[in-house]
Amino acid sequence: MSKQIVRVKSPEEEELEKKRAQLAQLESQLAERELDLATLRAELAAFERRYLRVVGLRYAQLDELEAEIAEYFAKRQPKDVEAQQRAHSARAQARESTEATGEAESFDETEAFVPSETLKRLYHDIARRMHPDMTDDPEEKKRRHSIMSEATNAYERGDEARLREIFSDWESSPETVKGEGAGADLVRVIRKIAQVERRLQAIAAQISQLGESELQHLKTQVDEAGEEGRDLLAEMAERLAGQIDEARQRLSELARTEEHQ
Amino acid sequence: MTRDDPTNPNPLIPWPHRELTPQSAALVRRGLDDLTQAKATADRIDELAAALYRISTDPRACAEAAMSIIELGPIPNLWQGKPTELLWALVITVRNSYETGTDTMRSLLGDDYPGKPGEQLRRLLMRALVSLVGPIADPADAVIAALKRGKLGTRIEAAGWLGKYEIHKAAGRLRNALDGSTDVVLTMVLRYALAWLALEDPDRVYSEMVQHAITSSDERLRDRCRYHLFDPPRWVSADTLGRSIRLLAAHEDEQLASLVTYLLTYAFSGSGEASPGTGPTIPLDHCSDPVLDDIISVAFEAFLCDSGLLDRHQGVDPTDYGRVRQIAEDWWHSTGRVSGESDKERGLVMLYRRLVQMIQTRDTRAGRDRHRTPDTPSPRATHATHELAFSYLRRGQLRDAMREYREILRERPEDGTAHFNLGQALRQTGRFDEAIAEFRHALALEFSTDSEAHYNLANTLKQRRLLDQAAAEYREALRLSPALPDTHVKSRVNLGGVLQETGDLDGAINEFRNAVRLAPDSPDAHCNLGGALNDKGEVDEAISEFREALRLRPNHDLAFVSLASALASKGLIDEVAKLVGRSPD
Repeated sequence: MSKQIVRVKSPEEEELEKKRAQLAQLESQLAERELDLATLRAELAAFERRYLRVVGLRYAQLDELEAEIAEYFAKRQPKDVEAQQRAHSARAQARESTEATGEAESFDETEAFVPSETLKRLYHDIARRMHPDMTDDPEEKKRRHSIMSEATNAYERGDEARLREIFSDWESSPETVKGEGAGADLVRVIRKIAQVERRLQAIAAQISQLGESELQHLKTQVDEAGEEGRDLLAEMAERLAGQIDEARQRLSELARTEEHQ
Repeated sequence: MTRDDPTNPNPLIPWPHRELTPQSAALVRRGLDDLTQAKATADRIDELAAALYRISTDPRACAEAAMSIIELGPIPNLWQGKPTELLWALVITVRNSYETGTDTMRSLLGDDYPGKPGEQLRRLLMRALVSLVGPIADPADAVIAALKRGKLGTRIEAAGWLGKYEIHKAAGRLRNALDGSTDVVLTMVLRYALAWLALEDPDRVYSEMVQHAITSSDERLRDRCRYHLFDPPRWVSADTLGRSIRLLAAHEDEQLASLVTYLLTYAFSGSGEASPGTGPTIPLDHCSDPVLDDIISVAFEAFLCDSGLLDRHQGVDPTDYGRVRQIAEDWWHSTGRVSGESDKERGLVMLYRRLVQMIQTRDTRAGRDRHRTPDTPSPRATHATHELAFSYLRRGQLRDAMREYREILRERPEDGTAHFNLGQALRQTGRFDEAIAEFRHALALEFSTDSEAHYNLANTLKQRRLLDQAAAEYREALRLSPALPDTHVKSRVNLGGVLQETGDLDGAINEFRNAVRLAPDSPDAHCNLGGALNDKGEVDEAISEFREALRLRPNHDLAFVSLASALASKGLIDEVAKLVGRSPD
């Protein structure tokens, strides 16, 4: 029978233990929330691309036709100041819409961000280990920051392979030991707790900001319609297509009357 | 700030991510604005639809809603679900206006809409409908569409209507919906609809609904069942209805009490007369003795309560029919004031009539039983039973007829006429499978060359939705009936209908054309031909057939609605407006 010695902990050590437990819990919460935020962003980005592809392009088309019509009238009545102004602002509007939808042709009409469980797990685990707010070494923080940026991009693209690479490349650089003893450790842990909590607050603020964004409002409506079996974006597109046809007809009628004169 | 300073906020740099460009944000805002505007229109439609739903109580609101729809004009194809819902509300309203009491309509619509109020309103609605959606092929399609993609509440409503109006072509969709349904209420209503189409056992479905209406703790389910119990599926047996009345009456509940009175007075009638706003009624004669005893006592109690006689006659034995009848008749003679002006008075008068009828039925049976001999019938007696059985069948006393025919068959199992007439009685009580078996038996025994017999079997097969077999029997009837013009034409029309339902439009058109050739003065024949042509896409020809049907019978509703739809589908809105009697202002 071996003898066991129970060491009595100092008050600092006890406090340190408590704080470490608290920090561990916060860190795991942080990973969850980072995942939430990244997912929300990716969903919105995917939705934005789909919206621009399905609806935005048609707005741009419509605006272009309206601009041509307005310019036609402006040309016919060079002295009509209002007509000139209308043509000017219609053209500006058309330019703006075209800029917004510049790349939209290449987007996928049915795009939606639906991450697999593995993808989510990988991103979560990376955040859990490599989050910059879990270190207080400035150099290390910088390194981790760029790792997280890269991981977030890979997550948004659904790039599982890249996330795996990041995960396996990770080498935990040993924390530089600063100061000796439980007292110094306690200070460091407390500071990390503060860091993580601040980041958690910032994430919460960003999530709620995104939740109130117009893009999210639009997405909510589209999602709700989807639950009823309707494709709201397609409905919007269809209606715009009607308006485009109508504008096109107007324009060609104008061209015809010009020929007759 | 030094590294060790615990107040160092460690600047929180989020990893960079792409923000929305201002141009992109502007497009998003524009989309949202458009949706908000569309939503406002949709809300307006909701209001209008709600007004339309109230038709049975407030036709004026409905007419106003129809006018508003006309003013609203065609609704952009956004919020697609909405026009479907509204269209569906309109369809229901149009259907309802066939049924709503014309007196109420007249008093409400008065001089604003001269002419027959029901017709006026229907035309008004038709016009609203056309102005709203333009082309529609068939109002039933709108209801089917609502079942397919409406909200849960809409799907439940749609299922109820599809069954009640026996829209058979929705059967497949109802089955699919039933398979996919996870909602108890929707499931129940879908089964109820199938019971109306004779594709589920109506007795079982109705009895289950009675149970839910009484005991369910799920408020939605309970209320929904109570609502549908007012319309028993056509094929519910008299005994099931009678037992349901008994069960419902045993519960002290105001809602259930009004349901009981309603079932007693309208759904359960001895005359078979149609009740307002509902489907066919169930003849009292079909009820077995113990059930009839039960409901007489329920009816008596309800009568005492409604007429205010309860205090005076409490404790009267409800099986003392002489006394019960005396009390009822005394009331009837003593009161000169019952003018039937209020709903309650009308209900009480109906209840009185029904009670007396029930007691008459009971008395007749008791008298008949006294005259029956328990001895084994002699051959002569068998002959007598045949006559008796037939007289029951002719008078609609189906239960008695069936019993008599079964007795004959016990004596002479090969009696083809008895098999055939037993089949008729079974068919009239909705027991199609048994009826079909009896008809087939009779045909095999002695009627194989009788076109009427084949025609009867075919009709029953059609009711049972055995369309291929029905078509074969109609063809057989046609082959055998060249000398019987009536059966011949009817067989052709029905064969055409079956072919149309199975999707053989060319075959259907061919049969309908033959029918029109044989009976050029029949508006139905022209209307049928028009319907099949329209389905095939031969809209012009369809229109001229509908017009011919209307010329032959100007108030042919189906031809009217079909013509309006066909014209609308061709975009001839002016023509439609002319048809509905108003200029396209």
